[in-house]
Amino acid sequence: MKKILAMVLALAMLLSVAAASAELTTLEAGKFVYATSPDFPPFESTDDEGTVIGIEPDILAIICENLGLTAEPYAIDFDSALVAPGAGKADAVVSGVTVKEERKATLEFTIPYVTIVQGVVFKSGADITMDNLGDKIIGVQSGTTGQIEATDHFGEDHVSAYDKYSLAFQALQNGQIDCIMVDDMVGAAYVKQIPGLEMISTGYDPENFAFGFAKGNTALVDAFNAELQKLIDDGTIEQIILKWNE
Amino acid sequence: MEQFTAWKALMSAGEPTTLWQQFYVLFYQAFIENDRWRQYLNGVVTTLYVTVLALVLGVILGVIVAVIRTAHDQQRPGHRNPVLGFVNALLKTYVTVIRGTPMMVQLMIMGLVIFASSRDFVMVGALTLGINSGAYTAEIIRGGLMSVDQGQMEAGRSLGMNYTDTMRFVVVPQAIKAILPALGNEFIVLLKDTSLISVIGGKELLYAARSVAARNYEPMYPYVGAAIIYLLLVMLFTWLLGIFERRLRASDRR
Repeated sequence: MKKILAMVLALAMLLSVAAASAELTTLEAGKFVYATSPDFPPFESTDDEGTVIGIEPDILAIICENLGLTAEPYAIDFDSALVAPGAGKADAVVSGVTVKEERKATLEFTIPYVTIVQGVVFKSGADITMDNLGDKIIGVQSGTTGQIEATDHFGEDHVSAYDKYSLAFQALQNGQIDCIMVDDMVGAAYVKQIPGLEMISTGYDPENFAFGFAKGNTALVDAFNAELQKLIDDGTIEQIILKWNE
Repeated sequence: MEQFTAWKALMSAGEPTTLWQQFYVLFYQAFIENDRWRQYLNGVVTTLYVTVLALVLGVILGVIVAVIRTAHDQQRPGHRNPVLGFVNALLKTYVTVIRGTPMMVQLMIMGLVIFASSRDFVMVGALTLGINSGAYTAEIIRGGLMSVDQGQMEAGRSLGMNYTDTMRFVVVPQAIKAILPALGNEFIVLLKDTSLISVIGGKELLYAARSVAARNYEPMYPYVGAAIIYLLLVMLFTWLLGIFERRLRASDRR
């Protein structure tokens, strides 16, 4: 019995040494700083203490523990979060980032771990369909795929971009905008929190979410990819998403 | 255009590119692609529109507040007017509240609470900036009016002019010259503060730069471009103020 315990211990030590010697370089040794815009429930939001919580922080916590890193959020507006890794202010952007061809020019993405489509949220009873959106004012968060899709389909004049989705939802309740284009999982979370709203799907192409790293840190991306694949395969990610959508 | 597409493809593929090619691609996508310069132009028009509206409102508010407050402060001892005292207290509260709260908070309150049903974000922004600027302008003008020697007012009155005429022909012309540099300072701050209305959805110059930066995932060219445009606007403003100041000084025997 003792021998087995000793062997297990030895193996564990060996493994931890192996993990540590993998030499993952981050901006600050031992820390994984991720840029995020925490107003994007259920992916990330803040609790009463100001801690960043949600699907992505949960996933990161598991991955970082396995890699021997401490995850540290860097909360900032979404459009600034997207350029933070390139500017050397964060190791990665983890903020419900959709993998897009244009974004690949500045970011190195992990494998995608969830798929969403754009939805349109509006006050219940309002006359909103996908056909009459061209006559409405659509609220979005600055820099999101919602903003890109909305301006591409309906033009700059019909889009009002806010710093945060929480502000856009405030404007929607005030009646200052007619609807909001947002990722459907996030829209559903707001619809659940704010009474009197409903959501329809845009039917646009589905979008894949992944973590975006600065160009060049391939070792770190590979390590994250391996961990993500494990979590996808054993159903952990699905469980986390289900937990936050309850 | 073809050159842009070709070079951009090179850059996204990670092929080696020259500095000139990088500059061309980043500049082109920040200002020229899809006529993006129009967004900046619309932004500049909105910025100037908001500045002028807020300026006019601020100066009108400022003059009214300053004249009433000076009139109250310069009453002869023992001859206090209670109505003036009440209005003075009210105006003092206005100045204290506006100067004591951040511009951005005022914008949020005006945009999302007081004018919660308004869709004209630019007008709401101009109104907020005007009310804000009024408080600062009032104190600047009041300082100018108070700086004119009391003897000037007494001389005017003893020559048979009434209060309004003495103010108009004797005190205010001297005060304007004294406050012009400080007022110019306030106008410049106002012009730059218009960039804040993007938080309530006003589409001014910074909003345009942010939209383009978010499109290209490249912040340097749009933001530096916007900064240069703001700088040029302020320089133009300073130049105009300089001309005005020189004209006013033409009669000085110095």
